[in-house]
Amino acid sequence: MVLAHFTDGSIRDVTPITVYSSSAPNQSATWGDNGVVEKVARGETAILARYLDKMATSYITFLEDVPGFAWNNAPERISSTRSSMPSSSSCRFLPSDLCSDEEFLRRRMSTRRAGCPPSKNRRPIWRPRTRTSADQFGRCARRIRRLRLVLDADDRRYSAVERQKLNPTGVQKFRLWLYESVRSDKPLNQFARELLTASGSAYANPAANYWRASRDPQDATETTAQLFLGIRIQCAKCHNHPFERWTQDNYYGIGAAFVRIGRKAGSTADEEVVFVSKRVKSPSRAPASR
Amino acid sequence: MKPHLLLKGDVDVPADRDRREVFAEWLTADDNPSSPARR
Repeated sequence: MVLAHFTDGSIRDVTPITVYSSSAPNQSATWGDNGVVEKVARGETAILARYLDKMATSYITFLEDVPGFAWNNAPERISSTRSSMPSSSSCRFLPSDLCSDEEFLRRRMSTRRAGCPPSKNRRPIWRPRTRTSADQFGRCARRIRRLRLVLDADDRRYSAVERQKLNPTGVQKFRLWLYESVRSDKPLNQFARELLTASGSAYANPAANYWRASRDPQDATETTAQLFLGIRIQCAKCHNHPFERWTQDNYYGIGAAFVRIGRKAGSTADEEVVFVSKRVKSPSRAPASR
Repeated sequence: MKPHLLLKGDVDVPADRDRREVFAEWLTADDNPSSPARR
């Protein structure tokens, strides 16, 4: 049941006119217009209820007994598995075993070349030939390295030449910081905090290059929303989307967090320093309303 | 304009504080369903 509390003190049942969405549509649960959530399979889901510009989230876990299930105490090899382990255990999902080198490379190449992991129903993009495992690994590693060099060159071209936002030194330092963050298995939350609050010389603190590329609050809002929230929020610049949960208030509200970012020349050529300014760069709100 | 964050509403930020820190705290909070670590 969804209850709306209005400023005049009244409370109304708005369950039938609330819009519902799920973090895992049709995987763990389905929901109807009347707000009733029904289990599809065991697992976790977050149900988001939106009424006008107000939202509330409920987390629901569907448990089911699995005969013979025994938790295997799988080791946490990377930090991102740490948070998923308890829910996997309570929902009776066993973690997969480690894949072989061949399978890892097949997935890696497919992601690189097709932008998605290989599917059982599709023809494999890359298939190891009949060579020894060591040969395959070395050959594929060289291929990935060559591909990475090409991508590096592309990035530099797009970032430094076409977008005219970062110079080659800034791109190089920023990319190295990204590589190091991934290589050191930096937790995603820590990565997000370091990037979003970066200040100082963009050369001494490479994460600050993020704020050289996103030079105004609206640009920063759209880039940050796409990068960390996984959404394209551009439509909310002018109007609320009838089916999306992000509103104009959210768009300009996020932008308000980025209005005091200042930039000034550094001590060396092309260097720029990012700092928190006392002056506010106000995002001009679009005239259209909800 | 104050930062306005999903499920949190308007946020008061002291003048001497970096507003980006407030956004980063909201983004990475355990109870934020939009947190990148939850997806």
